[in-house]
Amino acid sequence: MEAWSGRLDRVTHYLTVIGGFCLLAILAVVSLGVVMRYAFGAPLLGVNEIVQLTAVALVMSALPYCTSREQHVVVDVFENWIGRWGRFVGDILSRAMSGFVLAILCHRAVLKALDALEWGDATNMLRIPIWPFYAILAVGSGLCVLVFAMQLVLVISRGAE
Amino acid sequence: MTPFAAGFLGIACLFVLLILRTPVAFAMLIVGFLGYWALEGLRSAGGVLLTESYSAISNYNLIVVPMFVLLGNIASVTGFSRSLYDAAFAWVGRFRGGLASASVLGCAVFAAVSGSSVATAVTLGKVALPEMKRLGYAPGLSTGSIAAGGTLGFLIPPSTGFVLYAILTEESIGRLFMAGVLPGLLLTVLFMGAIWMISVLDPEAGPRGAPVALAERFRILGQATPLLMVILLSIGGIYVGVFTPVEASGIGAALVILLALVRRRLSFADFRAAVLSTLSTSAMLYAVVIGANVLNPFFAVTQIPATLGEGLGTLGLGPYGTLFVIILAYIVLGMFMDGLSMLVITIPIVFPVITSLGFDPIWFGVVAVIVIEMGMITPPVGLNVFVVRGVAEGVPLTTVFRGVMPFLVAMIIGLLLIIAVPGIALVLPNSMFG
Repeated sequence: MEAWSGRLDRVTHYLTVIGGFCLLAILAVVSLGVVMRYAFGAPLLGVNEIVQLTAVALVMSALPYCTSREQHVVVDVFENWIGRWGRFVGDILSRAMSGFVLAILCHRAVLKALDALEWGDATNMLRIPIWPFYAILAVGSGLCVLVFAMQLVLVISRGAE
Repeated sequence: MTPFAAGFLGIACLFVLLILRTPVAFAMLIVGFLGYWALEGLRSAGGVLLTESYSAISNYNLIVVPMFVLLGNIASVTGFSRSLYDAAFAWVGRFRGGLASASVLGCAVFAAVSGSSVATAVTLGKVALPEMKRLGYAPGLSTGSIAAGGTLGFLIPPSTGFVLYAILTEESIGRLFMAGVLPGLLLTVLFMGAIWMISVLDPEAGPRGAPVALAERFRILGQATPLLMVILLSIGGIYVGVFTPVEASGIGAALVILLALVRRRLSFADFRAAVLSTLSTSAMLYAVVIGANVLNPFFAVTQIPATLGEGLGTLGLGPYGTLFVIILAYIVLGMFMDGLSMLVITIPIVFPVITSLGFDPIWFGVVAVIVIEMGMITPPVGLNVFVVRGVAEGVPLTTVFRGVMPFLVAMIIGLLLIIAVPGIALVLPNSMFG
């Protein structure tokens, strides 16, 4: 199980390469937009749309990485107070419930992507199809579900510590 | 069950999940989704979950978070932040407690490229604490000044606190950024005043540093000038209306990367580390926003904010009495909760109450951020205190907590001044936007 967990960690790590490119792409587009407007008097049209859609890819490619490394904000002041069984139950409950809600999000995002593909939904200005971005949302949340499932198995197999 | 009772049950469940160490983002997501499901059915809850999540991550204004985080990370790995501290020390180091004052000043300037109080405390702490130890500074003063100075990262623009507040309340990020400038400078001056007083009362606590010749001072300042110019350009650009906050963040980050490349200070490994750290921090912050976005519709359906507002109104405390109660609740919560979590959980409930009392929403954003900053250095859960304790090896936690007390008093004075004179926060945004 530890080996599978390691593999999943590597997948989430590789995914951040996409996130890194998205980050730099947003940086480039925003800066270029300013330079074009002030230096050449030719503002880039649809910068907002490009940034908004790229942000979806950025966040959803980084979220599984952040989740697998357990870097989310946690209130851990009551850690000692709840004891090892409290921590054990809490770890199981939080992962199971988070995974459940993200699984529903993944399911809804898949349905929305299919719907947007069928109806040809696109952005207002640049007419960029939006279904791929709902698909990215589905993939990112789906990977988070896998991460939570893996963490759940590991927590249960290790028992109360 | 009435929607109102469901709302209170939801809040109780939220706190239970937080106590059980569920990440704040997911605790809000779970309660928001399940609560909405219970009241409006699965179909509506699923719709809200998808719509709110997508709207959070595709929010154009929220992109300032990864951009400014990248800016701060690059400035940190390239050592530009060190030049800020050196410049501050060259100019104020010769005064009583000069090194501690330089640290606070360095924190204030670094806060203008970083939106995070933890990043500010860690970055400046690593540079300044060994220097203060070498010169024999009292551990309480040295660690206290860094822990308190670090909180400026949450107030001086670009501040993640203001970005989240703006997203949650649909206020202007630009206005909030500008509103944070003067209170940030006021707190910086008050912190330096606290250091001066400590050093006067106990000269051993903060000895003077060696004086630096005027020419040398200008030379050292020259080394920090490029980063200062980036700060001036990005924040000044927002003020004069040349850039939107998103553009300022993009231009700022691009310029710092360009600067680092020109000066050959950025290796590929450092760049990769900065990008990875930016992605992780951004994902964490976006997750919190997604959680808050899903929780808000649930609260709206339960009508908890409106009922709470009416309830507080019937107490007859008046606007300032009610504000006092809210601030007191924030201070108590801040003792146990992380600032970011506190902001996203409480603002949807408190904000309607505040606006119904006639308070300016921008001004309250500043007040809320300062109170949350206080929570970062108050026991038992002062995040910045723990962070500084981690950097300052061998200093007991109680010493750091004792060390921040004078700065906490300075913050209370600053807060009271801003409550008494709202213009301190509002003059810049009003002069900019009218």
